[in-house]
Amino acid sequence: MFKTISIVLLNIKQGIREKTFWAAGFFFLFLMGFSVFLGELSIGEKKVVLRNISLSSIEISCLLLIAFSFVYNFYREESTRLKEVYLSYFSHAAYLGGKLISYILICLIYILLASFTASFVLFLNKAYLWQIFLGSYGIFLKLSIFCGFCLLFSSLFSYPLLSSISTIFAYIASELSYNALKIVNVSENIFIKIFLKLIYHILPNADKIDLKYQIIYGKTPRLVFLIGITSYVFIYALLLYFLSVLIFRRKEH
Amino acid sequence: MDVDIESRKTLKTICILLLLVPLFSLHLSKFSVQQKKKIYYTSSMDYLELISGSFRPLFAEMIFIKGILGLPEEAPDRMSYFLNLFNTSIDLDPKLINAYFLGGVVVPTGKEEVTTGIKFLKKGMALNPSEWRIPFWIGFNYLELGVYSKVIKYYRMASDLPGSPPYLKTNLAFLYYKANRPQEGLLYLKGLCNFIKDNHILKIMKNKIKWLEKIVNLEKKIEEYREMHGVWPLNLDDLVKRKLIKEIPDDPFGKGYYLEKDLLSGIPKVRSKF
Repeated sequence: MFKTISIVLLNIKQGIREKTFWAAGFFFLFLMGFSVFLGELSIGEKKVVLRNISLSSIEISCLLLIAFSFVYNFYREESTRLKEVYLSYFSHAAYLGGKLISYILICLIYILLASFTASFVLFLNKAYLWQIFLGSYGIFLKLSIFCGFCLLFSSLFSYPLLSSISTIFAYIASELSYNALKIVNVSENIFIKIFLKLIYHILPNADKIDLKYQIIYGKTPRLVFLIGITSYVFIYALLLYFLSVLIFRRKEH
Repeated sequence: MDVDIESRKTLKTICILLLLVPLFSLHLSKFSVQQKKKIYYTSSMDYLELISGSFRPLFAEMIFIKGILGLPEEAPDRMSYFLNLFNTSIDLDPKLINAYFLGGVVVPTGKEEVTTGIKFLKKGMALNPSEWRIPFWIGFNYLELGVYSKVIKYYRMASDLPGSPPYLKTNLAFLYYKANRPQEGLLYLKGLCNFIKDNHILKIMKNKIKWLEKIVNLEKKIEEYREMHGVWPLNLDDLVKRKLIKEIPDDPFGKGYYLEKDLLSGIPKVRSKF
């Protein structure tokens, strides 16, 4: 337990100091600036557009942080032999557990900072709602799963670019699976329907975890629903963690 | 020392190139560039639904903004193109209320297009039953078409919804007058007064009811005149001459009442000069 915590603290300190963390932040600020411009163009819907683009910017910039910063950090430890040093003192499970928790916490810190910045911009444009933080919570839950995917692909593949692209593709697949299922439901081919249903239920259900649509119109999701999606994300992240440990052990053996 | 010479050479090359680039740019701008032809195309809803994922509202807003920016342009088959665009944005996000306004009120010109705009707004009303602005816009479109009975129907609907402004209720008096249904208007508005709690709005409403009551009373006297003399009066002074009324009543909103023959029925109607 203490070994895992020490890895978590080390990785958090390192992760926040990384240039990619602040590069993601600058990208987010650029998108926020763009949102103010787009808000001026959208007649009568300025507040909704501002809130929507703020939340989307947080999500996209954090996804880039996960796909590039976390992946490259993992592979850098391998190339600098730091991983070997860690593994001589910690077990594989503790090492990966610490990595996953640190990724999730860095995401949380990033999302909180971005949410406060977005809230400030929204407040200046009279579009602020306290529910923005609930929207950020939904984004945090969604991206926690992709921290798990990032860890899984980093353990599986030998090349960082492959892991980064696979993480992004996993995200896209989870976003599109629900709509693909809706379209295929009209088809008469039973096998395709069953296959897509299976894919949909295996992939993370981004349509259920996402709270953006309700938040931008000021609606508060029910507490029961929030507890439900939190539990779902916890179980999914655990699954990805154990898969990563299995693959990592076999590779390192 | 060698490094310094090399650096100076590189710097000189950069300076020369910095001068050459804008010169070439100026020279190239003399050549006429083929103007890009704009394609007025809206993506199919199926594809947009597939690629948007949980970013559906964002896609809806981008298409909505595309529509706003394209409004000043002379697009071929303008109504169809913009209606398609705003239809797509509301299919992605039904709560984008101003898309209904732009597609249903701003874009249509002419009777046929306004009718198409009304159909579009009715779709929005079904998707947003508690939004007062949509039935108000439908009523506004019917006002353009001169169908006052429909204007009354939709303004009444809008005035009953939460957040609607008080003028929707107070303006009904004028609309009932324009629709030649002042008696029906009086009955409705007197009943409505029981539910108005704001004293200021109640005062305005009572003044409008008085105005409408005067019109109704004058029309009753016109009927009496016809029953007595077998002909319709030519003007309101005839009622005063025949002592059916003491004097022509004051018009609290217009500049006086007068008689005007209705083109369809031939029956004189009391009008208010505005």
